Amino acid sequence: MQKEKKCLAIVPAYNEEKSIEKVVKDVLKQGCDVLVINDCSKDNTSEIAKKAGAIVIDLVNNLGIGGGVQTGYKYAKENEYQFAFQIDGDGQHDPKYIKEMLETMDKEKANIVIGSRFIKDLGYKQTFMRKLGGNFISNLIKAFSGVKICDPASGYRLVDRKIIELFALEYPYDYPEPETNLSMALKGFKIKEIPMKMHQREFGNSFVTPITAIWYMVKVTLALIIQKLKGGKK
Amino acid sequence: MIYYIIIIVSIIFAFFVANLVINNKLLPKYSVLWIGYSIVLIIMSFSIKYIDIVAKILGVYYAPSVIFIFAILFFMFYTLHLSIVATKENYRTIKLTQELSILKERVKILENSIKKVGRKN
Repeated sequence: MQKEKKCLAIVPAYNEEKSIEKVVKDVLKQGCDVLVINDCSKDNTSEIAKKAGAIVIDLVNNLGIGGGVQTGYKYAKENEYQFAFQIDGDGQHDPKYIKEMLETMDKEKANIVIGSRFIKDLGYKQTFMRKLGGNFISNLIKAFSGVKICDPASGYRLVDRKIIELFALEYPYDYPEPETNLSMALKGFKIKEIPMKMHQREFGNSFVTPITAIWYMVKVTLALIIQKLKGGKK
Repeated sequence: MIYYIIIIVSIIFAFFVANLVINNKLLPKYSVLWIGYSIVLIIMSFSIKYIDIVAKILGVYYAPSVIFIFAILFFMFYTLHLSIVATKENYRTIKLTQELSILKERVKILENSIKKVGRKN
């Protein structure tokens, strides 16, 4: 990887003081700049991330995942980064895949590379409901765009400059990953997946309960239908 | 009797809306529809005959229901309009939050570099 200001890792974080330091340091080791988007955390996420060597943007209002990550893409656009990673601040994503993702992008001439939990079974445990939901979304995207994405909800992605510019302009706010994957597939951008092993959460709770899972499915399905109706206008 | 109540309520309502605008609690552009709405209600209440005719044409047996139908339709569209306004405002807030947060970070970097230069001198 070239040393110049080229690659930015966008790390959305909300109350991640226990895990953020390790995430920042591990990503820095891969040669990327790290931008932590602190979404109004009530703990010391911001200070710890700064000390660890990250650039930190403290959002003045809580924006949620979509608005937060888009701030990162805007920053990447303004500061002329050629590549941007999205990686969670809770330590579930292992930064060791960054190099492989960059290589895959280069080799496959892809615009988006997704770190996928399901393309190959690497032992990621998930509940039956989650598997069912994931398969449904994946099949819906395949039906709408013809592109098979095994893990469309993965928050671990690498995108190139073209996509950075598009995301800086428009980015969905609630459940952005499946929506953007579909819209980019419809626009004809190349999406590739690489298998990755995801750590189970070390700290904090995952937000998914059966009711939120069903609500998630309904909202995502609706959002995907809307994306399909919007079509693939470039 | 109901028509008189509607007339009185509409007049009070129109004054209330006007008062909100005067006190800067409601933007004039949003007041126009509400005042218009009160005027329409008043006119409708004065023209009971016509309402009866419209009711007959529409096949409504109880004439005042015609007023209710129009009122419900009005509220439906106006609520939708307000949801659109809220969505627009939401986008604006998000954009402002993002731009402001990025700017704050930039200002901090600038301040720090100015301090460093100051120390060197």
